[in-house]
Amino acid sequence: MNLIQKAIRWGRRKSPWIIHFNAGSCNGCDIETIDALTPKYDLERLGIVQEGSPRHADVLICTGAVTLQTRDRLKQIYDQMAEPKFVVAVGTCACTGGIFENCYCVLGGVDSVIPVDAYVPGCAVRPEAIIEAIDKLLGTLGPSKKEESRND
Amino acid sequence: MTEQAIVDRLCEEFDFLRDRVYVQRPKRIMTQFLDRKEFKQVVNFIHDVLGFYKASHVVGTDEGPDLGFIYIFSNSDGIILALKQKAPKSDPRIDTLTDMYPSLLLHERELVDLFGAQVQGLPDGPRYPLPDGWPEGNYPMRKDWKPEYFDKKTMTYNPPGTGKEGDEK
Repeated sequence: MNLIQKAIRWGRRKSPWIIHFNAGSCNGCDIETIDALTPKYDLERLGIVQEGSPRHADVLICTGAVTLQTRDRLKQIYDQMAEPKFVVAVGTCACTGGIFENCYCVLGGVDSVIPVDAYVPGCAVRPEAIIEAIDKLLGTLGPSKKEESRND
Repeated sequence: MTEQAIVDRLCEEFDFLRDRVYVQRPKRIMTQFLDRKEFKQVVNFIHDVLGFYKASHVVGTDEGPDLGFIYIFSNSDGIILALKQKAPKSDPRIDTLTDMYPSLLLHERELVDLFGAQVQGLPDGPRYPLPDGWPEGNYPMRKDWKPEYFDKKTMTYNPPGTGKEGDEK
């Protein structure tokens, strides 16, 4: 791994930028996602910043079951994100479709349209669960600098 | 004006409402299903004379051969009046109330999309709330429409027995 790759990985691990997308949620999980960004939980102390544009974001936080109307929009937003990109399905509906499964206009969970890296079940999820999911997701990127030096 | 006074006033004004309008519980007045002509007269009366200025909600129901529509009005005393009307599925035409209650616009669009009601006099506008590309003639809130026969990839409704692709009911 050369120096530039190391620097990019460090930056990605230190400061993942997230974008929040509502694919057909009842707004319960949306409120909890916004709640995780408020001063009480303060995601920004971990370097996690909410970004408005999918082109600048690393992690797509998706809430709600995917409806026929949002299917193409969700795909479009996913395609606009730069590699490498991660998807976190937040809430029971985003994981499996939840109570809306087999409804006339609902396709199912987020994984019926785009690949998902982390699932956070709950109705509605707690902000702590979202924070832990992003933390675990970043853990899959490989050991941090501190852990590497400890191993040496 | 109490609930009973409103019921008495309605019965006094309209003969056909006798025994078909009743106080269900405090602050709630219900009617039985009226036909479309009667319904329009009663709505005009409660709007102009009785002061029911707020239309809170519209409920659509599937009554077998008929479609039922429950309009819920309220006045400044917090009394809620539920007026019902019925239209046969073969001729589901009802009159719009958006001239009197502009807030009913979205509710009536939902009746058009989800129940297949033909609301006469509804202002032009986009469809609501079904997704783009939804096939014509499919009304998902009717009891005889089953979601398991709807193919979400091709957006076609294929009930068993027809055996052909793209056959719309």
